[in-house]
Amino acid sequence: MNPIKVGIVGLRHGMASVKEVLDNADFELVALCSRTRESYDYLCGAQIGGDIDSVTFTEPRDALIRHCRARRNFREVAFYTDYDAFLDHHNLEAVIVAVPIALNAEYPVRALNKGKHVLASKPFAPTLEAGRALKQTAEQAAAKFMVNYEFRYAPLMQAIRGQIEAGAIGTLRLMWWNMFRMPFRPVYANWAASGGPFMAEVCHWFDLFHMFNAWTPFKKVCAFAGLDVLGDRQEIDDNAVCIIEYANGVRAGINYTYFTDQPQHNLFGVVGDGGKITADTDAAGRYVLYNGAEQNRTEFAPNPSRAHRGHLGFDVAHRRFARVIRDDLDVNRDEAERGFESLLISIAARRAGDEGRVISREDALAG
Amino acid sequence: DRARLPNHVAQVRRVREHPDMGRVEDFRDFEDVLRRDDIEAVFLYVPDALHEDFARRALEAGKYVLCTKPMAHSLASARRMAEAAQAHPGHFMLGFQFCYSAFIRAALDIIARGRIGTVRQLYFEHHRKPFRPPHRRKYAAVDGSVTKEGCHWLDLFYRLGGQSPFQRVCAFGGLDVLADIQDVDDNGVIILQYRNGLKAFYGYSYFRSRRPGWGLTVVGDRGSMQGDFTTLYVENEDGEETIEVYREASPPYRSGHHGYYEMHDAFAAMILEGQEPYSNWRTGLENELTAYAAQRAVMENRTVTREEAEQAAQREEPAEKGGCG
Repeated sequence: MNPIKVGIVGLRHGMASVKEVLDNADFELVALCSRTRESYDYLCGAQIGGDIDSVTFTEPRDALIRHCRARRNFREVAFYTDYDAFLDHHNLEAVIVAVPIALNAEYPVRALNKGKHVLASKPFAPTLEAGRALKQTAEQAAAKFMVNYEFRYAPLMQAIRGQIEAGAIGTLRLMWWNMFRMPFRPVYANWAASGGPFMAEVCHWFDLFHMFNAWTPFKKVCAFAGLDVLGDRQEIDDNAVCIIEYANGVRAGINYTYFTDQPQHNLFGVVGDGGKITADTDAAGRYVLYNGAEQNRTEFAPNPSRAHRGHLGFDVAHRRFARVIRDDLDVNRDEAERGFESLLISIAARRAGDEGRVISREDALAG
Repeated sequence: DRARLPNHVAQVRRVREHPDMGRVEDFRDFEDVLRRDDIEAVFLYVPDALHEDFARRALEAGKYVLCTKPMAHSLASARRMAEAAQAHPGHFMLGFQFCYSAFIRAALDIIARGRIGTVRQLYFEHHRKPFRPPHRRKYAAVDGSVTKEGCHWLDLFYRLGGQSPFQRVCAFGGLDVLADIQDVDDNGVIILQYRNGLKAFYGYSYFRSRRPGWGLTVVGDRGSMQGDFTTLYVENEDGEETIEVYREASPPYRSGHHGYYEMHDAFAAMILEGQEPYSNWRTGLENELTAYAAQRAVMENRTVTREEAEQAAQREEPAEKGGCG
């Protein structure tokens, strides 16, 4: 079977996707697109300077570049600075989108409208209006559409989801997530670029809660947020506490701080009426299940050797994208609805944080 | 009930064997206790609705008073108690034992040394078995799991967060699992914001016994702490440290009421050395106001401001003679 002819737009975080497609025999990388040639030149062998921005999703960017150029002669890979020309590349079948958040909806829409399969990036869209347009386009598209909410596919999260679905904690009643991390990179430090922490990052945890709770929609959300420590370097909030209630009565709390890069970045738990699970995402992550009459303790830890530090499930999400295309899986409606749900609650949480009051689903949908 | 209260049975046995028990008198009327000049101090473990009456009478009789939490069954009653305590300086202490525990003292020491910088966020998770039957009923218009027990954790937030007054609170809570045995909320999620910018999250459920049942997280702008009253994990830019707090804890730590002995030590220090305890009428009144606002937020699933709670404190609310004791 011929590999899927794939292109990647955006070569900053997108460099991690370059590595994934090169490591996956289901893909053949045929085209790249970026506003500047710098990253492409690195891939073609240009000397990597000391001032390279090393941050990417999965591992240091210079290491990714070295890994990639050892796997492929990039002079054989077409390079474009113009997105339309990239989409018109003669044999391009699929597009992986890794662009600034402001373009997260527009670029997938344009690719889908040209019949390309799309692996979009989170957050689903920068605005509700753009999210609605992407949702509608994806639901009606003949090409495949998937959003790269990679944590959803991590073995740790799938194992927890499996325990919940198997009834190991009884009926799910409550979820919580505490995130502690270093400040955002400067490029995300303003509202216009990132949309703030709920939109740019917490959307992952909203998505996981949505999955753990059998994709039940949220009903209302409240948050208290502030910029209390990092005011000299950013304009977006640096900490918040947030609560959610879902349509099935499940309740949740999500709290974040961007003050320190602590050893445990994410601590979270799910509580049912018959047990509970506590977990973290260090290395490949681990969880502890407490259930049974004696509150037995069961520990689980996936093999960390394949885990992407900080972005669990990144590799699995790319493999799934290939399978969705190969097996003609009908995923567009679910992917669009779930992506839009994550966007909606992110917008609602930010608004709740701004206004310090409960924002209902209806409030959020009304814009 | 030996099966359900093993620690209580053991404590009763120990008390029975104490040589002083032979000299302890039994009274049916509290006035008889108050009339005795040789009784200097009283511990009040009566239902919440009687706290004000018993405390006021004891203070007016010149006794030292250690009154169990919460301060009272209503905000108006708590304010009157505070007035009575103010009129008898150095004679009133409120029984919030957890804030005296070795765990909280260790956490306060770490904060005081600046090891985690300024405290910015606090989280408390508490998942436990259902209340004993006397606590399952509502005894006031605004009553529930927060006013009955969550007040402990709100008190810890207040102390660890630098005793800044709360500004607003929002909550989603309800009675979803235990409706056949109780009429107070059995789960909820609560967020609070304080005047100094501190934010806090409290999540709780009363469905079944948990192990471990609780966890506290303190996030500063230079580090953080996590623990469960027996172990305290601290991390900052200098590294990580795990402190086995329970080695220094008072004997009944297994019963869950951490700090209980130390609280009584503080009461003795108030009487013998004139040391004002942390849990006094001021902190008690603030706790009552915070718990009221949080419970109201749980009941109505909305944001309640400090101003709204203070206005409610001006009004008397109906109460039954019952509740925790």
